[in-house]
Formats: sequence, C-alpha cells, structure tokens
Amino acid sequence: MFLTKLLELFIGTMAGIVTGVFPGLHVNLIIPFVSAYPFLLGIAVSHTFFDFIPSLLVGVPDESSSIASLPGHRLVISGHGYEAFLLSIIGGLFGSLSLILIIPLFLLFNIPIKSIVLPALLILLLSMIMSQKKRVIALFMFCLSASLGFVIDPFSYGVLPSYFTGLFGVPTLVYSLLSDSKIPKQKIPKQLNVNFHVSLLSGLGGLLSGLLPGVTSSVSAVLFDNLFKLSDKDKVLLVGGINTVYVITSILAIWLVGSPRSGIAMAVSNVGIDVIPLLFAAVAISAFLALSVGTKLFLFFSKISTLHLNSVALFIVLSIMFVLYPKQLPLFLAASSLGLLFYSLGVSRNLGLGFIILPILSTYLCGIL
Amino acid sequence: MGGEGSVYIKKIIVWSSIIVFVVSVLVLAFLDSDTLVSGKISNLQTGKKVSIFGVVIWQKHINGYTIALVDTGMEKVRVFTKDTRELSTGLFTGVVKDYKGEKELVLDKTA
Repeated sequence: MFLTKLLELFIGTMAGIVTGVFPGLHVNLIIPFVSAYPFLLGIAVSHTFFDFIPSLLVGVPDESSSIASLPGHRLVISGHGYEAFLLSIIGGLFGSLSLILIIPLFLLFNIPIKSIVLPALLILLLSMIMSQKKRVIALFMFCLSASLGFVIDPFSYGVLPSYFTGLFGVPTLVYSLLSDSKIPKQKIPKQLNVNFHVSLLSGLGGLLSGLLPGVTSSVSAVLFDNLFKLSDKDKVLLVGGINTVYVITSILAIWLVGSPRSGIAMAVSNVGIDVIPLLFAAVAISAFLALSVGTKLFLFFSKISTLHLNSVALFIVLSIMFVLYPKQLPLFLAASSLGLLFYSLGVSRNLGLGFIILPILSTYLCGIL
Repeated sequence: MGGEGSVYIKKIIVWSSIIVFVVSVLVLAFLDSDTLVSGKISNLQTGKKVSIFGVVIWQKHINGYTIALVDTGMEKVRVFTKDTRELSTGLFTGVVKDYKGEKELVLDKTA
C-alpha cells in the first residue's frame, strides 16, 4: 500500500514537469480528472520547481528595458539565468524544510497571524508606492488595478490566473517579440553564495499565504522584498521557497486552521496524516528531478531562439485562455492592457497587485469595524 | 561540467533531497495512514476504519456501554464503545457507523 502511494507520488512529480514547463497550465486543471491524492500532491509540488523554467526564459526583454523587467529576467540577461534556476531549487527545498522549525513555533506560541495581516498589508502598500520614482503615477496605477478588484471578485474561479497572465505574461511576451532580444549564453557559476536565511523568510511567507485567505504567494513575496530590500538572486531564492511552501501550507491549513486554502487542498481534504511525509517526499523528488531533468531542459530552452520560444509561449497562453477560461477573456484583455500601460509608464507591475491587496484590506478593515 | 560553486550547491541539493526522501519514506512506512487529522467523519462512508485525535467533552456509562462526545477541533464526534472503560483525551481508533442518521465512531475493543 505505501509503495503504491510512493509510485503515484512519483508519477505525479513527473506530470508536474509538464504542467510546470508549459506556461499558463495550472495544476487545478488536472484535479477533475485524478482522484489519487499522492499523484495530486506530487504534481502540485513538482510544478512549483519546474515553472521557473518558463518564468526565467520566456519573455526575456532586451537589455535596454531590463531595469523594468523582472528579477529573473535581469539575471538571464546578465548570463546568470542558470544560477537563478539553481537558487529557485534551493529556495523550494530549504523553504519547505524551514517549516519543520516554523510550524512548531507557530503552534507553541499560538501566534495570531490574522492580527498582523492588516498592518503588514498597509506597510506593503506604502512601501510599494514610496519605492517608485514616479509616485503619483504609481499611486494612480495602483488605484486603477484596485478598481478592477472591486468590480470583479478576485477569488472566483479562473480570475487570478487570467489576471496575472494578462498583467505579467502578455506584456513581457509582446515586448520581447517586438524587440531584438536574445538570451545570452548562460554561465555555469564558479562561485555561488546562497543566503540560506532567506529560506526562513520564504517559510514565513509561504505560511502566511497558505493560511490567510486572500494573501497570495505573490503578495507575500512582494511584502518581504519591500521589507528587506533583497538582491535579485535573493528574490529568486525567496520566490522559489514561497511558491513551494504555499502548496504545503495550503494543505496543512486543513489541520492548522480548519479549512483548505487551495484547489489541491480541497481535493485532498479528507485524507490521513500520511499527507505530511508524502508532501516532503514530493519536495525531495522534485528538487532532485529539477536538478537533473530541469537543468537539461533549462539549458536546452536557453539555446532556442527567443522569437520561437516567445511565439510558442504566446500561442499556448492565448489558447489556454480561450479554451479553459473563456468567461475571463474580458478580464484577461483588461489585465493585458494594464500590464502594457505599466510597462510603457515605467512603473513596477507589482503595483498591479492592488487588484487583490485593496479588496483584502477592505475585508479585514470591515472585519475590525 | 561547471565551476566549483555549482558543483558544491548541486551536492547540497542531492544530499538534502536524499536525506529528506529517506526520512519521509521511513515515516510513511510506519505511519497509520487511517489517522484522520484532516477532514470530518461525517464525510466518510460507514464501515471505514479511522483514528481521530480529540478532547473528551463528556462521557456516560450505561448498561455496560460507554457513550462520549469528542471534540476533534473540526467537529464533535459521538463515540461508542461496548465496555465501561474511562475514555480520555487522545487517539480514538474505530469504525465509522451510522446512528440515527448521523455518523458515530464505534471504538475497537481494547487489547
């Protein structure tokens, strides 16, 4: 019986390679077709390791716009993309391990996480706007994104994937296709300094996003980045950790706070205590596969012409939107326009998180009042 | 291939993964997977054997049987046993049965 679970887990982690590498594919799409919970755990965890490959390599801008681009892309442009991929694996592995320290402390001190959400989000909001050079434009763009979040429920089915794909994915791909960007040869690092303490931050960030309704992994990542002013490499380490830890804590939330916090968590919500060692086994298998298979995939894709890579990625993303989320097409188009506006105005697209931050803030404020 | 830095980091990843995997598999092999720490008995089919953690809210001994109400944190479960042992907070192992339309846990006999 336990060998069967391990086999299902392993097959799930292999499936996570496919969902991770294809941009726009989400693990929640698989849930209706699979009931074996070890498989679902494996695919959910593995996806978080392998989706760094398209995140890093697809939509790489040319050097002139690198400042406005994402940290991962900046590292790829400077030839440190493979280093970023290794850091994302370490982030996922050690971020998950940090939970072994963090969760007992959380239970022992009965930390009232809900009470720190409101001040944390206010600090995040302030720091996001003050960190921009064009503060008035930044505030305007934040409010524009937030207004969308009040019109459309951000947490309905398909809304967040459509919004984020439109906000971050489409402008990146479009600008990359229009420019003459090339992925430079990726260096194999001779020296690799890893700030393992960032893994503790990612454990905390993943715990926050896994337990608290509305606080997504991207909100946690931006919060810690703004608080601690991390380097690009540490940002990749942080995000790698938070994404994987979020999967684990959203499932453990069934036990820790009494309700599941993700699609996968809802699918496995009636299982036994073996979910805990299965999750950590999935992390171990995924880290190993990311290092072996993922490295080969990364280096292979980094040699493909960006025109072909980005054209195929844009085609896949648009197809997924049309086929799987047709009702969210207006939102997707609005988010894409917003993303292009952010790009052309030269302010950080992280401000687009106003779409979820302001609605969450108002929910918590109403709860207090 | 690769400089010393990446080789060192790869070794950390490989050995950490192996240790985590081995420990996880050992825990999995010795764990009673029917212990329900997530989910609710009310969602389970009758006849399923489970173990739950819970706090005894009250118990009564009647005609050689014991009936108790146990709070698992997610729900309050009616627990039944065909003896008069004193139940205490902790682990309860038994079979899910239907009692007047609601699920209850009929405990295994003590060894």
